[in-house]
Amino acid sequence: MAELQRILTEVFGLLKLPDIFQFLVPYVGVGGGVDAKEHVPLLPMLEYTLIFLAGIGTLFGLGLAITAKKFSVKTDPKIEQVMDVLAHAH
Amino acid sequence: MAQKDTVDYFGLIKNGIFKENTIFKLALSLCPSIAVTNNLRNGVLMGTAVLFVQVMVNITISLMRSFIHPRIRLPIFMLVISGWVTVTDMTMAAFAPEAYKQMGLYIQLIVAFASILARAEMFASKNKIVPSLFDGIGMGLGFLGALTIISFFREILGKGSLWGFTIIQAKPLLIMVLPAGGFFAVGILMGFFNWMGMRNGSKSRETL
Amino acid sequence: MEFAKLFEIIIASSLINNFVFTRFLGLCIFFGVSRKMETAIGMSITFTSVMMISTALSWIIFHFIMVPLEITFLKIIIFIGIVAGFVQASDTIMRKISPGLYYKLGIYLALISTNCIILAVPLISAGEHYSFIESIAFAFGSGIGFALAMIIMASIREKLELANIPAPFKGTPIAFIVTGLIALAFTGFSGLIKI
Repeated sequence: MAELQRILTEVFGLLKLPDIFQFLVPYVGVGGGVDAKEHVPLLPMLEYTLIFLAGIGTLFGLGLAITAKKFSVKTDPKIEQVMDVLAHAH
Repeated sequence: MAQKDTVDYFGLIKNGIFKENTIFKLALSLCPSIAVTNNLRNGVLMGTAVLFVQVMVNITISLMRSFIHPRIRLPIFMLVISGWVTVTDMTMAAFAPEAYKQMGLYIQLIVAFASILARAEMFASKNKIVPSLFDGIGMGLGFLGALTIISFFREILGKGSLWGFTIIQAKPLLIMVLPAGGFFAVGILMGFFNWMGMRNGSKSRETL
Repeated sequence: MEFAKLFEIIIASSLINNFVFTRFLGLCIFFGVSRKMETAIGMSITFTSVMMISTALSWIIFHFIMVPLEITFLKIIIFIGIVAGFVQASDTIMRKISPGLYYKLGIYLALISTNCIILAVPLISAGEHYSFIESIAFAFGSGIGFALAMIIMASIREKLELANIPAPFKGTPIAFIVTGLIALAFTGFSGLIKI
């Protein structure tokens, strides 16, 4: 991001355009507000995000599936079908 | 053929603004709406954020509608909506920081709007991209219009100014900018819209 | 353990910054459930317990995994995921273990899951860097404030059904105006504790 900023500022200086870069890319880092940072390392952040999301998704999915299997109660399947048709978000 | 399509799209937009207006007719997603309508500027910013999220979510879900399994559609919708709300939240934190300090929490709560989820399930997951785009624009514009009306009345009656520029020297009804005034404003406006609807013959919105 | 700070947080989140009357959150289920007293009480119990457990889970995941790895921008997605997963799991478990409890309180679980308050409490406690006990106290205070709001509103609305209200205002608009009057009364609490 710092390289892009430097390149764009040089180009705008050469073309004698006003510095509109400050409106295009803000300086505040990821998160805004409370935890703003000056510089963010992109590749480790991507790795951590992907691993974390995949891990949490697998964990919750497995947990819910195991819970649904172990604590299953026999219900009439017609009730489920009727509820599925009626279930609009309220 | 083109004439017929254009008339249909405008019908979708008008549907979102008048017939199925989110706040006044369906009475959904009121939670953060009353909190940010202290000033006109906050109300318009919130309405723009909701318009952006609504349009983007409609487009994304309409693009993905062919390979979402019907049993897990609600978690997928929530995931898409939270992604776009995170984008909106970070954009607003970077470009409008003084407004974000006052209403940062309510922008993040767009995720829990029932109206965006309901439109995604009822419309965007069953229609093509361009109708979903126009439907999103319609609902978003309806929301923006409703927030603008509420915040216009609250600010002009409570502080005598509009967007920071003083129009009336006195403060007519200070209660309108307090939290209680928000409830009063929405209640009176809802009753007014019910009255107009009843005068035109349609059924009024009685129960929630 | 500083009980003074915890007490301050509970009073602040239940009376001064009441989630319904000052922060305008949770109106979705507030107007839907507060018509009768039994549903209001059942909803408050379910709400407080779900809120405390999901705030605890969110705090654990936020502080031990997200802050060290510096991926706090995912907090909206993760908090919604935690709440939805926990509500689903407790729905399944409660149906098997205690059907009586499920029959009385189970309907409210589905209403709580995409609610404005259930997401706001972990977000606020993440933004203000509360510790574990403080965020649980915050959740407890918000549950008590919500219960207070709903019980007051339910007792008024039961009488309001029999009153003579003009036709455009029947139902939701008059409930808004009554809530505005109660919010006006709650404004008297502001400034009680200097935060």
